[in-house]
Amino acid sequence: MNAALALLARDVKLAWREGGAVGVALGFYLVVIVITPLGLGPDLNLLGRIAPGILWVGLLLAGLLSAGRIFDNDYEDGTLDVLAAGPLPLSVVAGVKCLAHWLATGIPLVLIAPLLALLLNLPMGSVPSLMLAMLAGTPAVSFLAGIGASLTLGLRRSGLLLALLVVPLYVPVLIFGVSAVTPYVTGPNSLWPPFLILCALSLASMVLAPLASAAAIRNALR
Amino acid sequence: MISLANPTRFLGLVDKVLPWLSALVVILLGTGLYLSFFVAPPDYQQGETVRIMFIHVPAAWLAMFGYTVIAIAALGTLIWRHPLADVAAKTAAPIGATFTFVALVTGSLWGKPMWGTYWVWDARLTSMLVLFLLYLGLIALWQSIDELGRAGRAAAILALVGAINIPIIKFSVDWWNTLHQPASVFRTGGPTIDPALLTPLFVMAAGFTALFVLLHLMAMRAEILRRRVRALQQTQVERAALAEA
Amino acid sequence: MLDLGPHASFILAAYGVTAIAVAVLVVTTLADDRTQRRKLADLERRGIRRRSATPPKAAKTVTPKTTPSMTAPPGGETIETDPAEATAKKPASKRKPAAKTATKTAAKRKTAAKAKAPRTRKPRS
Repeated sequence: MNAALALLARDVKLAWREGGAVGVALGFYLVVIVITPLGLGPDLNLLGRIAPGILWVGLLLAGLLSAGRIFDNDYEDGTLDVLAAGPLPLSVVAGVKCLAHWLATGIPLVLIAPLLALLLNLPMGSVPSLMLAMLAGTPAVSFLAGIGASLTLGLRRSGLLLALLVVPLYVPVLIFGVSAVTPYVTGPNSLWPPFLILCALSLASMVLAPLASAAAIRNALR
Repeated sequence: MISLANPTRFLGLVDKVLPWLSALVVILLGTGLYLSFFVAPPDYQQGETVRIMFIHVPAAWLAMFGYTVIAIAALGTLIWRHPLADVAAKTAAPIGATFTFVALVTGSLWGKPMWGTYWVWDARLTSMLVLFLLYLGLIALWQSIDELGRAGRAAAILALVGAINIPIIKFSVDWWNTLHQPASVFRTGGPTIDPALLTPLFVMAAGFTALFVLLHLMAMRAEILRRRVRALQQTQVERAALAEA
Repeated sequence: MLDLGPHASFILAAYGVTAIAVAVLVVTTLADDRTQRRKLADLERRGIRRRSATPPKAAKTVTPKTTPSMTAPPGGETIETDPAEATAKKPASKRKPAAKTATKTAAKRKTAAKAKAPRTRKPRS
């Protein structure tokens, strides 16, 4: 347990300190959100209607962009070999690293989402549900990205490949994430069913994804 | 299964089976085409376009069948380390992807006269599109990893992750579709199909399945030979290295 | 010719696309099969055989010519073991895919190889 916590603290610190990994993800998110109205035109009604979708798509892309870092640096400098040989099961290591990605990158992305929502004219009333849905859904984003990151360890063009592998897996998160927000925009549907499904998706991926990631890491280290 | 683990014996079996299987494919597809063009009556609602169904539905079935084959072979790779499992999975992917593509194109060609547009974000078409993306990801992963063993295991892991996700994706796409589209335009659930249309459909489905098996066996044979060539080239290189040393 | 109604072009297009896709699959698979067979025959002719085969006699035939068979297979993949040998594979050094396989086979033929020194290009472009 202590070892896992130490690893978590180390990963979060590393993500914040070296090379502005988090800053790049946040900047990318901002760029995506800024460029969309430029492509669609400044119609505030239209923007308000599609804001949840754009905010979610931007979040997924920003999460994907930073996902390569979950395992790559440790793979390259050999830390992953040490961790694999260490006392912690590799699936726990993988899970902790994904959790660190969520804490260091996922949460900041969720926190700036309300600011970006202002740019897109999302109705104020739906901002809390947006935040709630994103908090519930982003663990799945980080853990699924972890699968892609572990499968593409050490490959050329791994970033693009990672996106191709993981984006189909994001379909449920995107759909339920957006439908948790849209009721406040379009109609009187309840927030709770999609929100609970999002929680279920996150919990399931927190349990299952580390197993897949561990298998993939072991395969890459072999 | 154990005797089939030997690729040489597998190749012998394939050579024996292929002529019969080819004949079966020709007969089934010939009968199916005849039935679907000359025997099946036009549908009272959809008219002659219902004939597209006879290739669209089998192609969609093979799209899912192909992924099932890959998922089972992935288990074979990861659990039993069956030497042919990776060959089976790797060669099934392009075939499955092709039939997924065929299902998408024929669905869209069916949709134009029926819905008035080539593409609608219909739940089934959308799920099929996501399945196509999963196939592309698998193929890309196989091509990106140089070492065959690692590529096979990585693709197997991804295939299993995808297999777990497919029902969830299907469920979410259905949810999304009912949320955004009134169901009136689309046929929800299975429409009642006239028995006169059912027989050609089954014959075509059987023919397509046999075609898939045929193509898969042929591709597996070629892949086994390719791996032999590689192994031989490898020994050649090593021998040269030894000779220089 | 049977009457396919007002949407005949769509029906024919659907069948046409399917036919083309299936034909492409069949042709590429058969071509691939033939290529591999040719390469295998070519390698055997030059005295490189599988484990069960007898050691080569005609060392002279191994010329440094780079025949088409020596080009890498499409996709830029490197060589690996035969699936039959995969089970007998020894634990290899980490992350060095090119240097790991078939040491056993190579060692067995060491004596034969010493005699002729074929200069071969590494089939990895």
